Amino acid sequence: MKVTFWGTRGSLPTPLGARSVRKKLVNALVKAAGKNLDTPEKADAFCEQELSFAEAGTFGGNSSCVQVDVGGPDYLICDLGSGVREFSLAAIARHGPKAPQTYHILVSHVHWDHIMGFPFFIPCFIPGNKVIIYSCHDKFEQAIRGQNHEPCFPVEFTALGATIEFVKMEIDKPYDIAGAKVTGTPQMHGNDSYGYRIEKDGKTVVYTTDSEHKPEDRAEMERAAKFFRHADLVIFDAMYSLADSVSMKEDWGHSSNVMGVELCQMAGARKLCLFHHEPVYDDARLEGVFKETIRFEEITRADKKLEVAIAYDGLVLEI
Amino acid sequence: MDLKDKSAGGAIIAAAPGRIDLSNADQFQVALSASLAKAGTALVLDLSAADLITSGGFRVLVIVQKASKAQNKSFAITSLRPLVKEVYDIGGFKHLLVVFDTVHDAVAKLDPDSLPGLDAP
Repeated sequence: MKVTFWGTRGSLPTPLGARSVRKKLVNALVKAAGKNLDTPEKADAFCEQELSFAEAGTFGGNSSCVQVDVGGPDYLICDLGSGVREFSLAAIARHGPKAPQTYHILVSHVHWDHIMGFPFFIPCFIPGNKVIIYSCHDKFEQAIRGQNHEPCFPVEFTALGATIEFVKMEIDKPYDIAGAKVTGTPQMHGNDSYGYRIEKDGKTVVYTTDSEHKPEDRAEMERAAKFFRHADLVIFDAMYSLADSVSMKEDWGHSSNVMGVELCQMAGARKLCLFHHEPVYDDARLEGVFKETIRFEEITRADKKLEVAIAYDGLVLEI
Repeated sequence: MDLKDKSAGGAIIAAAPGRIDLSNADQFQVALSASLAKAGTALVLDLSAADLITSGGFRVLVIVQKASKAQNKSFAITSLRPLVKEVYDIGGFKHLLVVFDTVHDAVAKLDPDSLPGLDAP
């Protein structure tokens, strides 16, 4: 399987902004002082070798959208955040607008940051395309249809050219979606949220965002760990610090990097990917969270190493 | 769980076990809450014997911190070993939990009147 992250930010899209770009440029120019960078190749090598990811790039600002390539002809997408627009542009660039495709979309829940990209999901406008939207959430069809409606959006849902279907999933029941086995599970989050376990050819990806895990609820922790069991990749809501998640932001429906490590260790998972980044964190802070998470895994490791990654818009992970 | 409470004037000095994680956090919460109930002015938790504290343990510390405020008492942790200090930093607790280098420093700051009791043989 191949996993591509098109949107990784939590709560709302978070553009980088002119001041942040200028700050990165100034920092890079200072570090480049005295070096011979008179070709694009030399400059690129300098960025690659001597600047950190946060200095030379950005984690990005689109809200949740993750593509899971399970090897078949159809597309499989998790969530319809603003990142789905980037995905759809890439898909259309690949096939051209006139080659009909089938898109399978798993929706975790219907908070706005997870469905706001749908009105800009270009394949929906093109006759011949098939879009099948799945969720365990009771109101996902109502919420998605409701976005494409005046006065909030000028194109009515009924005017979309593609064939669009909604499939309400039952929790804990496996479905064959795009050739993969997909199972949904309930998560702790306001207005409900669901995680999805995607299995194909002996590989497993768990998409679990907008999910709070409470250290005092041992039974729920064990249930979550069972859902993550031996996953090759767990895409995990690590929005808050542990301190915030057990104090002022308790019951806000999100989790922490520390909890992600502990749950993945309980589950015997192979790789944890930090996801749904806090909008107030800048690139330097997110890079710090990544380093701290790697260190926490080292400190708490029993026997098996848990690999740690951090999602950014454009990241591709081969599973 | 026995936290080996010691009295020093109105302060109680409790000693944490070697590891506090999800497996023993509940017992730790019960024991530390009992220590707080016994304290007249302040509860100081000596972490010098603690090798590791994970999410469950830090959650208990935050709960006891809140409870101490509600009871108009002070709470602090002391003598963090390097790994515990790292997890404290990684978890982002510096704005929530007050740390002192030693038990003596904590009592001197939180309840100086209890210092003679701490230093008594």
